[in-house]
Amino acid sequence: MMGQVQALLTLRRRSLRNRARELRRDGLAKLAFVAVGLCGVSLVAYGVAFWCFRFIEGFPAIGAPLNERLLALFFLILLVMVGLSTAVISYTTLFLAAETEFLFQNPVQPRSIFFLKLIESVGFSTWATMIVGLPVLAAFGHVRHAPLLYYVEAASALAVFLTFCGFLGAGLTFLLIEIVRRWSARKVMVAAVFLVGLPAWLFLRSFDFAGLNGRDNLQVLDRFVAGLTTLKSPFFPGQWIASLVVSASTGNRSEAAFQGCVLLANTLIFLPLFAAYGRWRYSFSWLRARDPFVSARASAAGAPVAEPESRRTPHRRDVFSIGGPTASLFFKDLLTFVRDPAQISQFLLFLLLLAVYIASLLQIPRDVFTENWRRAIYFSNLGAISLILSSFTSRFLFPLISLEGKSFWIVGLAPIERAFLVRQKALLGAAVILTLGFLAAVLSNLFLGFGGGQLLGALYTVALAGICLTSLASGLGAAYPSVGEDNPARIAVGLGGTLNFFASGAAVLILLAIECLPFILPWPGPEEGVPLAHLVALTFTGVVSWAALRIGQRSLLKLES
Amino acid sequence: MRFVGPFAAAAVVLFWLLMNGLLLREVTEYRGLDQYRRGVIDFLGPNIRRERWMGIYRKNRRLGHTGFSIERRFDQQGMGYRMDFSTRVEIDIFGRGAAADGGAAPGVEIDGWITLDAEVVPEEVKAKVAAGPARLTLEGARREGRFHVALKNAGGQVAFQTSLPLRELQLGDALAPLPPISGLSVGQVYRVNVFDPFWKENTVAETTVKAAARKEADGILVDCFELETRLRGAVFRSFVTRDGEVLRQELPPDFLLLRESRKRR
Repeated sequence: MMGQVQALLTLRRRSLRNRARELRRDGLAKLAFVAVGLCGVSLVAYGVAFWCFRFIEGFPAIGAPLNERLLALFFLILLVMVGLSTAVISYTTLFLAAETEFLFQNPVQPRSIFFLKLIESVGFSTWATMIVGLPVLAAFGHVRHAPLLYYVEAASALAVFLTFCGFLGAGLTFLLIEIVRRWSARKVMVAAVFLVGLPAWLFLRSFDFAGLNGRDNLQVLDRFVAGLTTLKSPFFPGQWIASLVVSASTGNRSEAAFQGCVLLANTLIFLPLFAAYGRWRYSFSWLRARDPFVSARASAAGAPVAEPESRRTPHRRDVFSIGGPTASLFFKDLLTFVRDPAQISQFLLFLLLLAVYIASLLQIPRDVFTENWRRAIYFSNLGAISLILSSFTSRFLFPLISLEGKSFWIVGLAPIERAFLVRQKALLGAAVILTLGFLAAVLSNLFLGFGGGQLLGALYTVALAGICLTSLASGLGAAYPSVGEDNPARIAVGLGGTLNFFASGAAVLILLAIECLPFILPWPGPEEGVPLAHLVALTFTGVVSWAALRIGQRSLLKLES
Repeated sequence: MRFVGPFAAAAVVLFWLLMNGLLLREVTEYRGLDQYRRGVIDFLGPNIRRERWMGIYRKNRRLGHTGFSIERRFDQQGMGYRMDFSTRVEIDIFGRGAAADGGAAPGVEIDGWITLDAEVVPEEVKAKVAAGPARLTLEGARREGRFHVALKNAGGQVAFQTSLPLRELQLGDALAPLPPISGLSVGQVYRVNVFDPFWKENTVAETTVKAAARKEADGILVDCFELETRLRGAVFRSFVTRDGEVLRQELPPDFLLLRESRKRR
């Protein structure tokens, strides 16, 4: 058993070493860019968290307890996000990935494969959170003048907590895979509405901004977080780490140690449970997850999903005939996407988050802010929408070329140029992203009370951002493909994916800065400056999109030769 | 090597049972406590120390301060609390003499500490009390199941002594006593024994959470509760946040105590 684990670890270590050896100049530059980007993200997270904590602490009547409650809320959000993320990633990594299939063909015990893949899943879904979470905890300690030991305790606590979240998400997947696979699609949808929709609705209802005015913002926030009874429960994992962090910051060692041990015990308990699952159940579940007969039987039991041939074929023919190769590839990509439960579930999760964001704007009153604040809200909303869209492109559009993978030759046989493939992916992405972006921009601006010229301006900016983002994701996706990887989540968080994420973030920020400038600069003023800014933004979008697509197309041509 | 896995699994399960058992015991014990003791635990939360300071005003003039800091204590005697308190009022409360600090204004001053066990029952108290020209020392300790308190004059002679039942106790400062509690909700009633060295008596102060209110503090409106304390026939009104931060106290006839973020002379 130990020999097998060692063999698997050696495999992973050598794979990493070989990748490091293959790094050329552009690879190193990419690595440096990503490293600088990660440092930048950490610094921004630290700066924002420090400013917020210090600002709130500046109101002694409510500040200190409010900061502690916000910390508990932060951990609740991490629990949900990391848990769901690991649930999806662990499903693809443990049950669908080609490498897992390869490992099963070797004389390795299923339990060893299970643990290797589980650790990878948890690592993949938590490393980015660690990079954002650590600066937040450091900022809290700085504001509270915590002793040096606090920083060690907080970092260890966050690592254990994120592992707990990951294990919980993975555990949820193993549980669901036993239950849900026997269900029909309709049954799954109904359960999802209850399990996700109901808590989301209750969460939204807990926002009470009705009585908000300019001076009450903090009080409303305090009332909101104080109303979340989950945060105060001694059995809530987020409360364990929140208590640990607060007590460590004040030097209450015994409380910190107690809460830390509770958290550690509840994290470690997953190990024997997973060991038992890996030994007795994993190989069976893995086989069933790959068995199309089970899925077909489940579908047949639930609803008559198979349409009569007479109805289905003409529809397909229509699609083929309407747009030629573009429509065919669209159809292929959409079908592949819909057939992948990991992709579709994460896409729905993204949609839900976007819906939660837009719906929460309904609670913000329109007439209590000054003109400057309204402008700040307007651009912040545009920034939020653009960044959500950037997550969409990074997660779903960037991996599309890589996902062609070993089947690339099939597309290669089609009578199309390679460069066309990049344009097709960009078009597909633009169609989805612009639809979502326009919908989000219209609804959010109407909810915030922005109409007329402001709404048109918002649509224009979102259109430019959408074009920029789709071009970057398609272009960089083609320039840095991971053809050997079949897990889209891993492609998205790889080096190329991270590079695309930062490039997208930078592009969005520059675009918004250009649109903001007329309201900040003393000359030439908004009336003359706004059309000029629109023109500059259009030029910027054109240059970025052209450059990204060109890089992608050239790289793909080279890849072919 | 063969048994490493099962042993490790057993150790993990035992560790899990132990920690969750301890957590469950802590929660059960907490829920079994009365409102006052729960309030004190909520007041401190996971913090090791917390302070409450109030400025004393009369007709818009600051007369002094009153307040305390409470911190968790871990020593040979076990877990508990230590409370350091301080009150200084420049007012001729008894109609006599010089100021507590020997200056021109008359006044009262009390500085000291009290240690409490985990049940918030006093273990030991020591304080210096000055009222006008009089200088007294307050000492108290547990003996034979009761809490013995003695007031000694400057020469060390006992001027007054009494023994109190061994239960939760708050020291009064001739002002409105308000226990260090949080987690308030409308309708709650707290009854706490108050020993006041100025009145030389042990009285029960009854505090009722009357209603939800909003008061201005630090330039913003803050949600709070209106509390009514009855002591020796007088009624005091206090405004306290859900986290136990006292924003304002109104004392008859016309004293006003306002929250301060730190101790000021």
